[in-house]
Amino acid sequence: MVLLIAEQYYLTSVLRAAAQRFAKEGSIQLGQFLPPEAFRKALPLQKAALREHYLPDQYHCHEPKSVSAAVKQLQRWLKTKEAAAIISAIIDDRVRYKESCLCVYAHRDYTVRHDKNIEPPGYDVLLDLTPRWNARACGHHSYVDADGNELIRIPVAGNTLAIISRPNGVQKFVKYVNHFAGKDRRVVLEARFS
Amino acid sequence: MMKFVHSEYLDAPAIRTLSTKFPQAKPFAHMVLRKFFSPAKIRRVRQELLRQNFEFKESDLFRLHQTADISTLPNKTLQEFYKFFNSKDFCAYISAITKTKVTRADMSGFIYSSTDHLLPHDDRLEGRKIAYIVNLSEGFTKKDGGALSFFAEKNNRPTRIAQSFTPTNNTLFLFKVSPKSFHQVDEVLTDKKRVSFAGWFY
Repeated sequence: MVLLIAEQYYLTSVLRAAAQRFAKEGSIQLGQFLPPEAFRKALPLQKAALREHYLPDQYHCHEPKSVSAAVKQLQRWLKTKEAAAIISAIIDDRVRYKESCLCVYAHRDYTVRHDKNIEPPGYDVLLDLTPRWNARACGHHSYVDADGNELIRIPVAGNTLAIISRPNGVQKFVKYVNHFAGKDRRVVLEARFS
Repeated sequence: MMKFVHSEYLDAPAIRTLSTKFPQAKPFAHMVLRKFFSPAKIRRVRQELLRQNFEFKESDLFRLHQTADISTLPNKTLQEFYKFFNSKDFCAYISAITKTKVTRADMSGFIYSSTDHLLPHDDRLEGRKIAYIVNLSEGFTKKDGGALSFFAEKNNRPTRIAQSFTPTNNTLFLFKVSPKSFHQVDEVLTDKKRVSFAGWFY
């Protein structure tokens, strides 16, 4: 049987350790989340044709015009009971999948908090499919309170799954991607659970 | 007090011309006044500004370096410049060319270094009438970034960049703060420093 996610994340001991860390920090970033072969199948997204989304005072980002069967499989996996069970085990609460999107952030892309775009409280799940990234390029997810104080920062890290608790009043943004990104793209499967 | 301003901007016909052009400018009421200040005076102000402490600031909207409010800095040259902006004569001048009654201004100094930026926003906040930027950047070309860009809008939502101004030394930008006044500072793509004062007339 071909596993869609790395074998270790089926182990109770691993999930228990992750749960302890999540309880302490309100977020966790699980490394090597996909088996190497599954992660490699997402790499063509670096060169995929993109559709631009631009509302200057809210966001500038992209999505692929088409995705491979392997990536579609990952998108479907996030909606499965198996995904919900793993996430529930880590956050120690039952979750329900709400929505997801495949987002691509390149040089000059960003999202900002906006009164017209308030996200309801819940849990964010970020499956990072970025193969390489210059940390100086920014493009990280930042979670801030109502005063703008950063509570959690999720750095760009390929083949990780981040789970973030987003209580009432906490909003997120993707920090402007600067010229250190060059032609690289940050590719993230962003999902929301409640 | 008006000795800070280049004489060509001060005669009555010049003021009449500016006051006609300001409200007609697209995509929203604005004005770009190049070589506006007396070169010797603004050079001295720039030198003193660069001696100040600039605090790094970052949020979803910006990444930049900013001084404290200039009025609080113990520097004679900068105090003089701040007082000039708040003088009755200069506020009357700004009121005349923008046809907007203003009585005072606040002021901070800014440096945008490589990767620094300010994303699109409209500047609206209680009391702000006219936004200003005194650009003191030297040696910038278009490829260096750091331009002040104005957005076209539809139903008070920004749509696309309509005009961009590469940073140039000794240039005063003025624009009316309104639901249409969406603007940004493009990312600086060079190791040159984009130096400016900015604030609002109230």
